[in-house]
Amino acid sequence: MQLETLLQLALSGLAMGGIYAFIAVGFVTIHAVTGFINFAQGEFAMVAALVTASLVGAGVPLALAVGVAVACATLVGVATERLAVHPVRHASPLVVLVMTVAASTALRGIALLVWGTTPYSVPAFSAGPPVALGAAVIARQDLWVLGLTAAAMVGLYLFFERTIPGTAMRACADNPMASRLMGISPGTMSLLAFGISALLAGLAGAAVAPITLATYEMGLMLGLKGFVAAVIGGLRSTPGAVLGGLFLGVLESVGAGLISSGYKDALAFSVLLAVLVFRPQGLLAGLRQRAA
Amino acid sequence: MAEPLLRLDRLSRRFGGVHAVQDVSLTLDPGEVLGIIGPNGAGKTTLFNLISGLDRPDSGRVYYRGQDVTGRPAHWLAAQGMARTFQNLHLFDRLTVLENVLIPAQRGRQPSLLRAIISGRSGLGPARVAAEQALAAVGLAALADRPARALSFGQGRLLELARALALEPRLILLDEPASGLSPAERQQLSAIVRGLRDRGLGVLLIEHDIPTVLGVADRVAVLNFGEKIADGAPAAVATDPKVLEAYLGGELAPAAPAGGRREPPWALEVRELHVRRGAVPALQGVSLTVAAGELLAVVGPNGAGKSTLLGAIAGLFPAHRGEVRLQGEVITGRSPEALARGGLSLVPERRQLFAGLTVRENLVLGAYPRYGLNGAWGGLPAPVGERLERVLALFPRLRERQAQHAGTLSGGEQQMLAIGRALMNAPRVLLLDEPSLGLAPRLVAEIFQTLRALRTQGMTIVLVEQNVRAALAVADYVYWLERGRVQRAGPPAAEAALAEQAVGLGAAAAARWKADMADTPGHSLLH
Amino acid sequence: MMGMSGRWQALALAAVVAAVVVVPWAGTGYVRSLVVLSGLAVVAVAGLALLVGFAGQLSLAQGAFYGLGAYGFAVLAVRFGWPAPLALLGALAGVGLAGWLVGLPMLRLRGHFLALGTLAFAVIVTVLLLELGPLTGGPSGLAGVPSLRRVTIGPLALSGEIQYCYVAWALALASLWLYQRLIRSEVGLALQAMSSSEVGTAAMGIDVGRLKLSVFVAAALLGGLAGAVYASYLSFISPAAFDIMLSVQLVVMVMVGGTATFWGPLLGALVVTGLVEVLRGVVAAVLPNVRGPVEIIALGLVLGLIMVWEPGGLVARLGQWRPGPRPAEVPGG
Repeated sequence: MQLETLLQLALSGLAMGGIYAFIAVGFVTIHAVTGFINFAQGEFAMVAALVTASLVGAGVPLALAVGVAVACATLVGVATERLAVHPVRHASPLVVLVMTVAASTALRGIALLVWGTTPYSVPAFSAGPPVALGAAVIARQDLWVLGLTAAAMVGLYLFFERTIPGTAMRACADNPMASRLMGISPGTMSLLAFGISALLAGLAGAAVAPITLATYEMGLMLGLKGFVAAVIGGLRSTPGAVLGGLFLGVLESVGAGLISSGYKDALAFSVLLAVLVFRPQGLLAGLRQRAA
Repeated sequence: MAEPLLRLDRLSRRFGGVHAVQDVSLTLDPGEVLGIIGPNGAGKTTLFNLISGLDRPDSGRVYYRGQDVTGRPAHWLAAQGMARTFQNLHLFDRLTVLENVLIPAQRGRQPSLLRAIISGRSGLGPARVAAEQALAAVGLAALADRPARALSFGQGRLLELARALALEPRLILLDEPASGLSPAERQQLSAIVRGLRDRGLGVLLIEHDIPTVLGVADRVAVLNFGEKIADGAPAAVATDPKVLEAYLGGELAPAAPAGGRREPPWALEVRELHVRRGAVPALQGVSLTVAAGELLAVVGPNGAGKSTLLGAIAGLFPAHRGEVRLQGEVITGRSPEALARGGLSLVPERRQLFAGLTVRENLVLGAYPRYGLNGAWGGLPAPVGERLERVLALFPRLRERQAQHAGTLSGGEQQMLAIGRALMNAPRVLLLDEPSLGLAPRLVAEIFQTLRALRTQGMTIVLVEQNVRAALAVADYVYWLERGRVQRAGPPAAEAALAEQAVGLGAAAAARWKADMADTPGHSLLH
Repeated sequence: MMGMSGRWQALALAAVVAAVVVVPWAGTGYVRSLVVLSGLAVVAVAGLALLVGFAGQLSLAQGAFYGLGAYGFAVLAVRFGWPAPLALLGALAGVGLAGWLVGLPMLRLRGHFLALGTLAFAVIVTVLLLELGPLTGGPSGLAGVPSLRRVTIGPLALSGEIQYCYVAWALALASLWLYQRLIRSEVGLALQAMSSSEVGTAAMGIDVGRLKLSVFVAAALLGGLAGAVYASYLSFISPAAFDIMLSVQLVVMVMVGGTATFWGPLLGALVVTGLVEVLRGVVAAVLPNVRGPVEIIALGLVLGLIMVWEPGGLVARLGQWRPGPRPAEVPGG
């Protein structure tokens, strides 16, 4: 295989990696603040993708459609927290996981009822031919995804490091007992975490729709891949989740190019199994230690 | 007989940078009861986990019956006759009392699906006899068919003991078997332990309740900061100055009393408070009052319920009965968040800083109860800035380290940060849980100087301390807590002489347990 | 335990057996297919209930083992021409080996990591079924899976469907019997102990890892057995039938049935199978244009409601509905 082809494959993988990163960061945020794994994470992206498709189909300008769709996804996220997670928050993490499996299943069913099985197409955020990058080319929508990923990371950094609510969320993740003593309500923080995660997933859903089409069942794989990315990153660190997402995207793309596109999913989950079994602290944890 | 039943050779275990157990060597012979005592966080339970295979030592070896068993899995050791109980009961609450005992009564025979399908319930036959015997030995035979979760806490402790006995052990490790027991149940427990010794078993006993240990042990080893600081006969250990120092802390020059007017209206009042921790009745009707502007000390032995008291006041543990009033207003049942907003600040045991956040972020969050999410998304509100300045003036060392992560501070600095964080809330009452824990004497003195300064500025402080001597030196008034009840109260000067007795050590205590021993009719209580 | 005396239990069991004997003759072809599928579900759920309900280990791989059993049987019989009984044994051996290999590293994982690790395995299985075209037929599936030979008893010529009804339910009752044997034995005790405290169980001399693994393999075997019979019954299989939703559905059945009783797997399988069918019918009648598995909404909602309303499962709730006076209401309770 030629180096250029490899480079092109890696480049095409980056965009999907950015999408995974969005979802993975949501997993990390919710897990850090509440200790739970939210299985419904991908469904938030699915809601945003389908709402975008419907609104665009109805003639709403794309930017507005994306905005409304992301808002819808955020609402669904907050509702999921209140209806599925909050009532069982004192039960074991396993019960909460089952509840989010239930929520995800129900959301998928509702989407099926509303949108049916037809895949919807969404136009790229800006039209035009792919952009040449040296010997390789990158689609415009891929550039959008990467740009959004970068913007979201900067936004998240500012939120977590520079604002009081962001600091309070980090405190809640760091030491829930002490944060209660500081008057920080775990319930509010959990709601905030789900809101933020759903917002990120919503952005990912709207951004990925032009690449993969929007269907009622797209959330399951997006969610699972996002989880794989989060685990690769160690499930604790936001930068780790982003790197995990990009790594997974590139790995899938290169793997699909080298072997066969059908094995793409198997590859991702083999990585998950390998990481869970051999390096539960994540692939990137060691890197960070060495750097420190 | 050359080889002891159990021999530990320079066992060490680190967690992060903390030496939980360091270079501990011990021996235990058959027919011997070895008590292991030490202040909170001395590494006692870690030591048990290393012996019983639930954790692996970083270095050192464990020899059991002459064989090197270091790193063997827990189930293997159990099958070899090494039984243990747990401090926080690990009962199987989906099973009945008898079924709980049936599991160890298999004595290491592994459950097999095939055998189970062939023989069904009848496969349990032989184990049943052993299980019933074990239940009878602790007096639980009549409750055999009750669900385990229906047992009282004391009965749960006895069930743990019965499960250990059902393994037909040669060595038995008891982790705080007396905590949460009534005096009568303690008596029964002591008798059972003596009975085991007389049958030739080796018993390793961790216990907070020092009189129980001194009363039943043939030999006592003392751990402090993970290291063994004493090992010998109970009477010698009880009066060993090193041991007394570990428990009571060093002497501190006494402060001038605050004037000593103790009368209503109280800043804080606790009435007949009952609190359970899990199934453990931790507080059993505690009443106390705190006058405005005074520094009140609550002292008592480990496991007396001191931390539970502060936690319950701060809303972390629900009250079972009784009430708490803050400046006359009933606050029982409110959430810790609401109480923090109401001006009640707790500096919890082991500081509980936000280790991954910077010193400055920790402090700013201290003001969160006052400003909440309405607080700026950008810069700090002016009052928070002012308060931050005042706290940094009080702890100059924190100023230099504002950008550092709290987890990287030294122990003393962490304690200062924990106190500073609470002060950011401008509390009406400041609750402090064991500020001296894990600190060298010099740092303890420094922290306590700060407490005096705060009291002089008129702050109302409730201080819970294991370090009795230091606490008595700064307090205006002292409550003695023991086994979840207030034993005594008074001004510190009158109480100083009783410090040793408060933790159950010293010559007087040694005399007292000797008398107890004489009264108890040996092991005849064993059925 | 249920609030049912031994006599009522025996009576209920007799009623189930009677229903199994009679319904296939009385019902339509559609009803008979439901009878077969629910019987096979009981087999798979009985295995999963040991793992989830008793040991407290959430596995999302049971559907994958079902699929492996189906494909193992089909591939050995169709592609390699093995006689059916041998193909069945071969498939079970394969499933058992897969369960052992997967369980060995995976059962070290705790809580949600185990759930997601088993889920990853399930996804990999689905992908392999799709991609190993020469063996599995890929997305278009595999046809010509051998069926049971027709049996004639005296004047009664049993149709193929009726035979499968009886085979499926014979296996279902046998699985329930095994399940019941296990839960009342030392294994059941040890599993329940483990779900309360793994550390405590190990300290009592039980090799927790070995126990978990053996139950995981047993659950996989029951799942694989159900799958193999399923393949033979339909004589055509495709990967879509064994995707993650099958695993989720099996977990829902366990949760609905509840954990600690003999009747749990039976009731869970029947209620969920029935619910899905009813809902499918209702949707088809009300919204004729909607395609796809809309009934998953109900699966999600039922699972959610069960977890909030009665985590002990439907049987626990039924057990409280005893005839006779109700206990006095607790004011404000």
